[in-house]
Amino acid sequence: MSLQDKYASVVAAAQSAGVSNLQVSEQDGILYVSGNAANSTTKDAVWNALGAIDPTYSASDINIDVQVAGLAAGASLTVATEQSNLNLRQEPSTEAAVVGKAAKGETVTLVEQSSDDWWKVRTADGEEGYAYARYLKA
Amino acid sequence: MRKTIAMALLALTVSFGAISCKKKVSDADLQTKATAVVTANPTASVEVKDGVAHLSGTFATEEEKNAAIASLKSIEGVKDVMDMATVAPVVVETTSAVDPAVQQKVTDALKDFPSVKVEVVNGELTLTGNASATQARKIKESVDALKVGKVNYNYTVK
Repeated sequence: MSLQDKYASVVAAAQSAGVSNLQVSEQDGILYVSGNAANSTTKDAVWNALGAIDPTYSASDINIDVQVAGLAAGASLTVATEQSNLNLRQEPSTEAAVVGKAAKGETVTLVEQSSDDWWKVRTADGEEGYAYARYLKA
Repeated sequence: MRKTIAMALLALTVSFGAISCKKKVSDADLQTKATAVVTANPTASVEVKDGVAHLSGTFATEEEKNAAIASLKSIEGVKDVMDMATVAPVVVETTSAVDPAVQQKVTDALKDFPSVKVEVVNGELTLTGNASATQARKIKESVDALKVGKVNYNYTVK
């Protein structure tokens, strides 16, 4: 069974959820599914489809890179860390100094989506810094 | 005259015998054919004894070994193939095939999951340890976003 067939439901979910710039390609035995989601719900729909096939999310032959993009400045984001506080850093790097923290579940405001990995956000207390995008839910 | 008839009869019997045993190909003939099959692989050898081909030596891959066995079996007259050959172990690269910067990126992405370790095993990024099903999804989401190629998720998902 080809990878495209194996993960057809994931691609279908991405299409029906409205992922934009959807790209599906196969390279070195890995099916790459990438695109932009308007919000976290769209992104989750794609991941839920993978979970239906691979409940432990351990598949090495699919790479899903569907990221929430195109959010307007001022959008509300929820901090979705595992447990710890989310560090806000001076620069978009884990090496940079921590300039503030946001608690799990706290709502922060988007300043800009600086890159796929790092978003600049502002807390309710007015602290501003770069946070790791994976821990922010739109 | 009687002797001549006897000889003729004998010759006839022998030739009939030869016809009836046509399927029986000599080991020497089989050896030639079998050697031709294996010759492509200099690290392997084959010896035919009583119509049975004994394959020995090493093959680069399981597929090549199976192909050689199949070819030997297809030689007319070969009764069986004894597989005594081995497959060469995969050479483990001494230098890591994974860029340390890539490994660091993945480690950074997973620092929220202390129960999961990022290692390089046989030149491939490998995650080990334990994770809950919820964590496993978040981990894959984080790792996939980095697009670092193949990652083995070898941790135990509870």
